[in-house]
Amino acid sequence: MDSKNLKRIIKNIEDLPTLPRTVLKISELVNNPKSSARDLSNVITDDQVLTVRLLKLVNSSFYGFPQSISTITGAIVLLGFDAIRNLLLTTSVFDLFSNRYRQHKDIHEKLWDHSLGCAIGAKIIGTYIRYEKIEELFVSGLLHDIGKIVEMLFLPDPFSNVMNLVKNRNILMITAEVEVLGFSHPVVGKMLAEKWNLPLKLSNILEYHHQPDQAGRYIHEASIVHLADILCRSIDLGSGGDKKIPNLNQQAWELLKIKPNVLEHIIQDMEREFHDINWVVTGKT
Amino acid sequence: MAEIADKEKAGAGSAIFEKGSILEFIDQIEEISQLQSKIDIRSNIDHIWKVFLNEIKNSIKIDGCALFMVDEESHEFILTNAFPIAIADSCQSEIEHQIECGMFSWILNRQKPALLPSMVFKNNKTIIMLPLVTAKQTLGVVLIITAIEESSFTQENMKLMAILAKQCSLVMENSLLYDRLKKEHEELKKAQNQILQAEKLASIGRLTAGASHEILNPLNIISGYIQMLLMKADLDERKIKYLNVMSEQVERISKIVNGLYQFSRISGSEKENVNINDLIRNVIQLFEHEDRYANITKVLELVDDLPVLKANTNNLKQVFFIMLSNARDAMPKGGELRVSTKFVPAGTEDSDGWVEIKFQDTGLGIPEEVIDKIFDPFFTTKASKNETGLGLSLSYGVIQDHGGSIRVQSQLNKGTTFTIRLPASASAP
Repeated sequence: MDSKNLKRIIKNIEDLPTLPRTVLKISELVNNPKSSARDLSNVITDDQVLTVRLLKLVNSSFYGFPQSISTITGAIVLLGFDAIRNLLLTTSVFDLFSNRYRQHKDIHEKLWDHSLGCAIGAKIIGTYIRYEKIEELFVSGLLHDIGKIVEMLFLPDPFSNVMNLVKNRNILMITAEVEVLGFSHPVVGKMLAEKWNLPLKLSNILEYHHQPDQAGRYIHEASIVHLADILCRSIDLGSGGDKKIPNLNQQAWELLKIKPNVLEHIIQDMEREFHDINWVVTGKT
Repeated sequence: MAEIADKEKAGAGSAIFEKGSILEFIDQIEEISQLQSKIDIRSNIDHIWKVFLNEIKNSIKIDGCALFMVDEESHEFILTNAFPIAIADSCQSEIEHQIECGMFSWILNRQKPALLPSMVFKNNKTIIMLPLVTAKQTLGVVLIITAIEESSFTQENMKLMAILAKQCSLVMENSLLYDRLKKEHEELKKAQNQILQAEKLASIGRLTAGASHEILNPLNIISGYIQMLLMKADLDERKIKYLNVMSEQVERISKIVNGLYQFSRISGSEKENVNINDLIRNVIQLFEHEDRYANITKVLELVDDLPVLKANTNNLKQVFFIMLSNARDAMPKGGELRVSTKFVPAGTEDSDGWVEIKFQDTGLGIPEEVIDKIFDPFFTTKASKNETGLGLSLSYGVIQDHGGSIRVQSQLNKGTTFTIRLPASASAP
């Protein structure tokens, strides 16, 4: 049963929602050191919706940019190539969350809020500890529970069992997943990240956001997302599908060296920014 | 499915292409990372800048480049280097424009290289700002002016600039830390020397206090007998001359020993209210009639509202006298003597501040090799036989006795400054 489910996912992963071609192409371009800002901008501007969304995000409070940026090349050379890739990823991920499947509509929407909250949390924690690539943290936070979406889409019935188990026994989703499916969303998330050719760092963070101490060289990033996840749950920003808060990983907490009184500021910033950014990414007001 | 196959083909193609360019890129990074080993930690910022400027020139085509460093005290960005030097003013105004519109602080906060259209340089120039930051601090920023269009910039260019900036910051920080350590080490050494000096003087003091008293007694007896002999009527010319020489020399011994005694007598002198400014004017008057003093310009800068100090007038008078006669002797061909007083407020609560008295001359100066010895007893550079070499050590003793300090700064052929500080806490209530 267990491995059968996983195999089903693996088999079906070919049919998983792909990222927009533009984003895949950009990802490739960014992996090539010889790509120029023009190369990147040509691909982006081909997609008008993406162009508008990107400029909106770049000019949002996410960056607190003192002047408005009106061209894509301008945005690329100001923010850097990686940052643009991650921003594009951010704007496209929303489409994946947008609900096409009625069965778990409620969870679906709450999961989006939770993911966005975690993304913002990761970004804010990153800013506090002066981590260099905050867009990367943002995307990692946004995608950290993407495995749950995949399960929802491809194993709707076992997923219902998982949800029932969570509800009846008030346990963590990851515990129920292992019990029902034999695997959990971090592994599925990692598989999807690999399929999308996302950087190893990202797939690693997705895989270990529940056990950041095992993330190897990306322990810092995994710890940040781990903490952001927990903070989101503690302030009820969306829902990860369950009502329990996972234990804070001791090693991750010690690694980040965040003073407890700073946490309060982080949480305040998270709540404020959540409303600012939600409309920018979703286009909803 | 067709879409995926398509994508995979493209992916495979770019992978081959990437390998070559990635290797090339790694080579460049390797070169940059070796810069650090080429630069000695003792080299100054100018030297480090030269090395990095070269590396920037090797990496991209530039029109010009400027370095701004954060001033440690004012925290302002100061233009430190510009290449070519002619663009210095334009760079300065470019930075000012960028600061004004908020871009500058935005880029510094982000700590990453960024490109923007220039606001000052004409002909569509692009500027690249490279923040120089380390984990601990912001060191400065590099401004690069280039004709390369922003859209032609590659990922590689950006990454290389970022790595260059990182390397440059690390090397500069190391060098700055080294400098700071060196300075602190020197200050510590200086302080240690001062303590040694004070200890030396104190032990000499204890020794001489006893000895001088013992010497003065027999000296008085000898002097008395010489006077008695001189009163005898039957002395011939030669004997009188001999006795006079003896008397003079005994007088000299007693002067030396008296000086020693005063120097060593650390306390016990009674203190009264003293107006330092009056005291200085008083002592200067003593010199007015001297010919040697005539071609020296005297400048008095005495601040009116000095607190009245509790001090020993005679001892201080003596110190000022010594300061003034030393200054006079240092300017045999004339010069300027500046005497100034001021009140120095205390930095901490346990002190009421200081009265500072400065004696500045434009004389010969004190050679560096002897400046440590000038407060030693019997040390003198003056050839005259009337000099005991006790003046400064006596002054040192008196000032110490008042809880103050005396420091000297001197430059050969430029002049010497003695700075005396007396604690205001000794002032009358």
